[in-house]
Amino acid sequence: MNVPIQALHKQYKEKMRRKSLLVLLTQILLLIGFIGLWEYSSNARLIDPLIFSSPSKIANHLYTSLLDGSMLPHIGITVAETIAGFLLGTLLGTLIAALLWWFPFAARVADPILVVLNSMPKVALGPLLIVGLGPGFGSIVAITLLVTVIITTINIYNRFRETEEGLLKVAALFGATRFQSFYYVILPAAFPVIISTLKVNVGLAWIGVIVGEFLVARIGLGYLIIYGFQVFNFTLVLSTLVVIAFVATFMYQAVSMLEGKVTSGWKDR
Amino acid sequence: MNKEKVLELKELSHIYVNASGAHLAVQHINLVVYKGEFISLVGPSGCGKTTILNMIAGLLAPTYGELKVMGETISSPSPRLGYMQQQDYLFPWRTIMQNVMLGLEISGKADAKSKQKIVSLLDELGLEQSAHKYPHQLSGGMRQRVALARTLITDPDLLLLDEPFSALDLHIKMQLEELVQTTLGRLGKTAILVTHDLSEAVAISNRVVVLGRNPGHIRKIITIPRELKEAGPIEARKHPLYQACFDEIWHELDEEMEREEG
Repeated sequence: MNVPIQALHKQYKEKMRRKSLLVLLTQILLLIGFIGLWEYSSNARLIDPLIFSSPSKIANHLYTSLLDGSMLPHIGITVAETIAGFLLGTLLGTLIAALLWWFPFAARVADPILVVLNSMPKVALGPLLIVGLGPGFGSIVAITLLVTVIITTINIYNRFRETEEGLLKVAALFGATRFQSFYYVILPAAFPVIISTLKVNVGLAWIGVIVGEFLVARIGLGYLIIYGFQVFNFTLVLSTLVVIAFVATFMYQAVSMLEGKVTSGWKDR
Repeated sequence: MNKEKVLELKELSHIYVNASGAHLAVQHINLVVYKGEFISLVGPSGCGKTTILNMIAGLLAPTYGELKVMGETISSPSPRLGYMQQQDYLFPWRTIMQNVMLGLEISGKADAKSKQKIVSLLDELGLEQSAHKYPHQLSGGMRQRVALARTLITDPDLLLLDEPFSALDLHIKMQLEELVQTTLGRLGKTAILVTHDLSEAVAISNRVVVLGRNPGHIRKIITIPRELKEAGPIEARKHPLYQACFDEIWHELDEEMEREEG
């Protein structure tokens, strides 16, 4: 009997393709339905248009403010703060984790401190930083660092410690020094976790930045939200939220792509 | 046989100390291994086979006794000793080529010729297509062959094999035994194999060291007839002399069990 392997595979692929198409279609319909319902209920005054604005007003505001460029500096500064925040947070967290791995005594001492710091709402320290560093870019990045660095340290340090003993033994048997063990085994083995922490930190950094801007800034997307709230311009608030959603998603996707590139060859066992 | 001593163990003992107490793992281990020999260590679990291997490797300091490799006392791991573990432990983020290169990089011996050396070693082990693949793309038997290449590339005087075949299917395992035996024979390498598979021990070794436990000690050293070794691990299992050797080791282990249950 001649088994139609090719045909079966084609059939299967076709089925899968249809399924993903259906998912996409449903997502688009949901979005259109949501926007349509929002627009309708706002126009028909089923919801308060002052608070909830409407998609057409938001679109109009976005169109004008993006076109005349008045929104761009706000986007630029917030994006810069966020990127600085999550990159520095991940780097510093990895560095601290490395030091804790290197000095096990320090790790044991630091353990309860990390637990306390991790359970504390870090943004509460915001006012201190603002007084210390002055209002502006520096203190906002510092708040973001505070939000990201502790959890990064904990995650990556734990990953360092869970490194497969067998791999370390391989290096040790070749006479590896402590530094070589770290460089050849511990650090590369933790790479996927470092990258996924970077992804988590993108989200956390947005929290830090927006809260920071709420507190002090005279520029940035967080500032726009607070300003819109103060003057009761909720179209501005919601437009800014839309921009944040887009930019944050874009940033997350960019890091995801980086992840795919960096870990393309190998899979964790 | 060339009578150059590769390894000398004198009254070797080890005591493990931890929070729950001190425990004598092995004691009074005396053994001399000559160049080109293949020695197997067999014994019930807990008899200290791996402890002995780790001491020879320099990972574990002997509590008492003396340990010499090529006439020199060993106190820390060195590339002069090759060690294969039960699992291949290839680094998943490195290609096969980079995995084999590891020992050279760590000991600072990687140079322009290393790649060529690795390619020809991979060829010999039947891995010519795999140099630029990643470990997860290879089968278990192939990965263990890569681990062998990684061990051989630093040109060790003595190979320590800690059940490297135990996780493989029987067929692959016997092929790999054959490959290891011929490769080591050709390179004139000396090897110590820890195994719980008596048939493997008989089929591949010059001498089989039977260990007893509580604490670990050498019960008997059995010399395997040359004919078996010359037949190769697969044919040796069918050789007329094979069964007698197998039975002798079996008997030793039986007696060890009886002694314990006493």
